[in-house]
Amino acid sequence: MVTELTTSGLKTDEMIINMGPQHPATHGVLRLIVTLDGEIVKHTEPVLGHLHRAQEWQGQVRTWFQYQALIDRVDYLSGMFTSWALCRAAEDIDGTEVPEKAEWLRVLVSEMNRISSHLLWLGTYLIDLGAMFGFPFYPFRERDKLLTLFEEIAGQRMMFNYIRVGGVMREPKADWYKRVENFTKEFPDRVDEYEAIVTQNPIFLKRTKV
Amino acid sequence: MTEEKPSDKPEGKPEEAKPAPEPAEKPAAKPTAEKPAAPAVKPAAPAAHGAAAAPAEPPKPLEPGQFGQFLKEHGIQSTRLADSSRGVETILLDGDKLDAAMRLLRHSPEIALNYLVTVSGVDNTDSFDSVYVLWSYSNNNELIVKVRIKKSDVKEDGLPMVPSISPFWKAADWHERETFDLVGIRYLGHPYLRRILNPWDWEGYPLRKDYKQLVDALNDRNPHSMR
Amino acid sequence: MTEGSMNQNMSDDLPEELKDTVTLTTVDAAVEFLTKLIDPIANWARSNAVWPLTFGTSCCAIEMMHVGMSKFDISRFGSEVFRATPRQADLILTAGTITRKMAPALITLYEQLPEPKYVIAMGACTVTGGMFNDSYSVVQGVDRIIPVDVYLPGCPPRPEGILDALLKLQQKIRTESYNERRKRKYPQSAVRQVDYDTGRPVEDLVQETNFDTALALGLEKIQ
Repeated sequence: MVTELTTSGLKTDEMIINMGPQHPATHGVLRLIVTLDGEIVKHTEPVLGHLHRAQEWQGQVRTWFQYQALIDRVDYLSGMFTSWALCRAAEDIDGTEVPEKAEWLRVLVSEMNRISSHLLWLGTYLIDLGAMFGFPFYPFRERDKLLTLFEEIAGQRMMFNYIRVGGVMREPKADWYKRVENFTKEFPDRVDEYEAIVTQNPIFLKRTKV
Repeated sequence: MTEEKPSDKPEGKPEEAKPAPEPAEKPAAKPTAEKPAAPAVKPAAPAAHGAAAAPAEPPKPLEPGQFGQFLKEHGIQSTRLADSSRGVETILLDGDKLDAAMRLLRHSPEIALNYLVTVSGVDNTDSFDSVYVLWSYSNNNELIVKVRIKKSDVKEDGLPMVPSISPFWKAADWHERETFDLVGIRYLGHPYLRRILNPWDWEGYPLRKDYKQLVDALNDRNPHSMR
Repeated sequence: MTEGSMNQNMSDDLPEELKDTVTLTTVDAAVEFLTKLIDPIANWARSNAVWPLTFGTSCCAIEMMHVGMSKFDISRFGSEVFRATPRQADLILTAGTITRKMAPALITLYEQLPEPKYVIAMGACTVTGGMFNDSYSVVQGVDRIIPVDVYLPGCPPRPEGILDALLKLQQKIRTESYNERRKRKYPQSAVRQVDYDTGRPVEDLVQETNFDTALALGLEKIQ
């Protein structure tokens, strides 16, 4: 549409706009200096560093055990993965062997964390496109169930501090597994629900299809 | 710290949670004092620890591994360092051979190390390292390349210089900017080398061992801090 | 001569014995009287409609999202909408670590909020610097750059905690007087004034802080 206007003799200019660090679409802080031609982005320069919290430097001056508390915040949506990486590194250097049940528990909670992180992606992606239900309603309902399960096993909803060097923090009670299983039983229906709302939605298709 | 310490680990940044775990950069002077009291510690494997008895005579140079051989065939000399704790081959290159070596390793069909995992920098007490971790999807192996600049070779008030690989390997662009920002290694030939994480007018390079940070009204709280 | 100075002149010149009888002669006294009537209603209305700004930097932002969703609904306490532009919001819930690079942006946002504006410092990072206590790039507590009304500790605070802080803020709004606030009678100045462009404190305070920190850390004087 922009090219039609230009060929009909209308002079268009490029605008340089700053999508500053605080913006509902940046999800955290990211500053984008975009060069726009109408609504088409011609060029962008991202400016990072608004959340540089000196975690590399803290990793240098802290011991392995002390850094365990900080590593959840490095990628706060997937705290289990980052703390697993730290503990695995320490175990590799040390030669520690992790009991098999702990390995399975690590896999289980990490995959639950992956699901919760992807649910957050879905929510924010949809709200970027304008679908109001994405952010406050459906995906966060499932995410909240997962966070309640994490709270039972690790004591905290988000910064778990659960995976330790040599294993995991503690073993869950027997009925925790049952609750996880209930969640997995009802989750595919939810995914179908999200898909039903999103995939055939004409607004979604128009905004994402090229 | 001598160069042949057997526990040379792949240095990386803990914030990149990749499938290959990368430990936090450990300071060179504290090798095993931090071994945590893990529940099931087995007697550690002999090749994987640091600060074992210092060798009485200089250790023999290691045999070139698969990648070292490959580079030697193409005329690039490399020194092999001790393997990392997971058995990854580590080689040490000269700065001026880096460009040619990277192109070879990336474009050759049988080696195919075409995934640059990270570029980072280390401040050893007497030298700076620029570390490149490469990975190959088709062959499922990896390689660590280090370029070492001695501090005695660096001019006063100057920065150690390493040729940049970002003109042909775009993935290295921001990694090199980060290394420049945090360690202070200057990459020659980089299209736009400026600070990426700290504000543009920050003074000093935070991940150097002799970095003393500015204490002002925004962060003057803790008298026991390690700044 | 502004209205304020005119009022002060007139109320200062009143003789003592007339001060009781002349109650409605000055505009200022009239406004005071009216606000005493209207304050309870106005404060009740204002406290039940506190609209936050979407300001989420890091992990606490996720808990802020959770408090906006259907299980821990924040809209039942009046914060129905999170406004994206500071011109339409009246609360900054600083959710997430504030670094030196971000500090000028936060100050600009705070200045853009129209009065009456409130700040809830959410999470340990914004209350005192949190676990990034000794990091070189984190501002140790957002009260160093903007005035804070309610401090909410936690890492991250539970959504119920955020609701508790919001209720305390509503209590605070109900007990304050807007006229007093307009005359800047509440001590709400920030602890430090910071330069907009670089995020560093203004020059006359740097010397003072240099002196203190040099003693405290046993270092030689910086710059």
